[in-house]
Amino acid sequence: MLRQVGWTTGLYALIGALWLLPGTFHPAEAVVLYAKNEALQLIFPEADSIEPEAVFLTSTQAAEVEKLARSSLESPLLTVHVGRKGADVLGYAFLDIHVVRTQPEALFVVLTPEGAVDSVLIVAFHEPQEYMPSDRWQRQFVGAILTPDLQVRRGIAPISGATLSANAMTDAVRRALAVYQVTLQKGRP
Amino acid sequence: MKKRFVRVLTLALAALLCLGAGVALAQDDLEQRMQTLEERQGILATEFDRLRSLFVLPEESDYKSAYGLGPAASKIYGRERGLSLGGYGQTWLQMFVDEDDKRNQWDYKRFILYTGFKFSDNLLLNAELEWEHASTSNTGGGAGSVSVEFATIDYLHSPQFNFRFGMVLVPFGFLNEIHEPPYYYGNERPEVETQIIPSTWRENGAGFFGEFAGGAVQYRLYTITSPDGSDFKSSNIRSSRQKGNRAKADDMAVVVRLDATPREGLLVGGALLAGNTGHGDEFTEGKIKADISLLMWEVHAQYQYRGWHLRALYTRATIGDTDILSAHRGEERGISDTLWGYYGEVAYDILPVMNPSSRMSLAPFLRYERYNTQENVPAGYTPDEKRNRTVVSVGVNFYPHPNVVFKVDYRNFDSEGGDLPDDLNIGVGFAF
Repeated sequence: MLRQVGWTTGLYALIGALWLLPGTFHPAEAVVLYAKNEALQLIFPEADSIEPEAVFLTSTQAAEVEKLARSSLESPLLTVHVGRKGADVLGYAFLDIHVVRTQPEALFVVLTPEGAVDSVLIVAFHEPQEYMPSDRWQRQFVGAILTPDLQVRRGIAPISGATLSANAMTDAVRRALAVYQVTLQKGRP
Repeated sequence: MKKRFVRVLTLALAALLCLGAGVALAQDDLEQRMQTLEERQGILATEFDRLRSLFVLPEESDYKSAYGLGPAASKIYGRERGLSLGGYGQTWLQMFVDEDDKRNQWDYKRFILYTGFKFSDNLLLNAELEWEHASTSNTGGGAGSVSVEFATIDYLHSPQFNFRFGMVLVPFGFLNEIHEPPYYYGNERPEVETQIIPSTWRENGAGFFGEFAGGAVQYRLYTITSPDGSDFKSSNIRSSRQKGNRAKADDMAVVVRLDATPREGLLVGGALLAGNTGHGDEFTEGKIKADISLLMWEVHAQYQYRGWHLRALYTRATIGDTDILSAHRGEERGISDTLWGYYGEVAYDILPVMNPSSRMSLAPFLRYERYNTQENVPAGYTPDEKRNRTVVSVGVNFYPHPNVVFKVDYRNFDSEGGDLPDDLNIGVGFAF
């Protein structure tokens, strides 16, 4: 009956056995990777305080942000989480929630006090897992500032078969950088 | 007088003090009210933020530990997000050049709906439904078809090890697994990934998939129903795909694929498939049973840097018992025991050069393909040199949006057996 599967049965059994080794691997990927407070602790591990601060964009500012970011804002009201140690600002974490394909993704774009990208952290990803950008790919954003080159197929390498994921994350990074440029960098409204 | 003056002055001062105190009190009140308003505004902003993110991620980690386990958590984060939809499609006008026998046609080639359903964090359904040629009624050039292109239940265990069961896409080449039109250049898929790698190639099967080193190395390992060797043809092996339809399962094939991303933008990999395809069938008048072994492999590389796109692939298939098979089929042409093909393509997005802030893309491309499905036919047969082909494609992909593409291309077909009709294609494709 099954003619060639003999030798592969052993291989599969081996892989199956690896599954059973307790504690060998992390638990399976979940759509919610971190709760919000967990993520903020990860982002600012040395912070004394992580406070949410509301950013109200005027219509002029919102238009400027959208022009710089090359994408639309969901709301002119944003929350930026500021990590502080004593009087020092450690960074700014922008929570961006957007639809990737038909399902949403939530990620934090973390900026340094000087306004460059420190890191990007996906906290929830409701699309199929294969569309989720890898950590390696996300590291392309480290140190990024708002330039015309910050775009997929230009400064940012595309992800084969996951164009929308790559664009969605790049847009979120551009939005955070644009909000920083229009509000924090220029002084609070 | 002096006394009176002092009294008036005292009264005036007292009045001023009262007024000042009143103003100060009013000022204090205003500041307090301002402070209250700011606090309320802060509360509203925080609440707004919380509500906005409520259906996507929980605030507290307590919820996360319950996620997927507790009914309360799953009510919010699970079922409402269970269904995932997507799809793609393409249509194009194909015009033959200097060819009287072939008629121009405009086909709505494909419309595909992708559906996914998340039963739990670990258990997913992934499926694609495909409509080919727009209708199943026998109009125009023939009947179209509706097919399940793949449908698997995936069990996600860890990034490294996951299990898949159902109808799988055979992990071969660039396009068999990822074939949304924005993903490749030209209206038609490369000939090598059609005539040698019979995309879209899907079979019932099961196996493992996963990734290591943070996604830098990916693998797939499946056992699938072998193609049906009795349907191998002299032109190619496309007809042998069983497509999950009551597939013969007396012979199974093993397919393994490895991909590595040494750096972002660079992909190198390969795949190997081995198995017999005879399925216990009896061939020729002498009722001979033949294994009809099939060994296929391919290697591929892709590099994307800024606007540049470079892609190359080589593939080869070796078939056993082609003498028995050729006699059984009784065709004029024999079935070759070797099929091979390769292609290389280059594209460059020129739009940033013209308009750096544009989000659109305009990429001319050039592709060179060589393939032969009649490399070595059994004794007594003459190879069909018209199947020993060179195809040069030149064209342009225009993306007004990353997932919408307008395509124009010209394909020059040539063969060792003489010239073949060229075609000009104008079409549109999309994915969502």
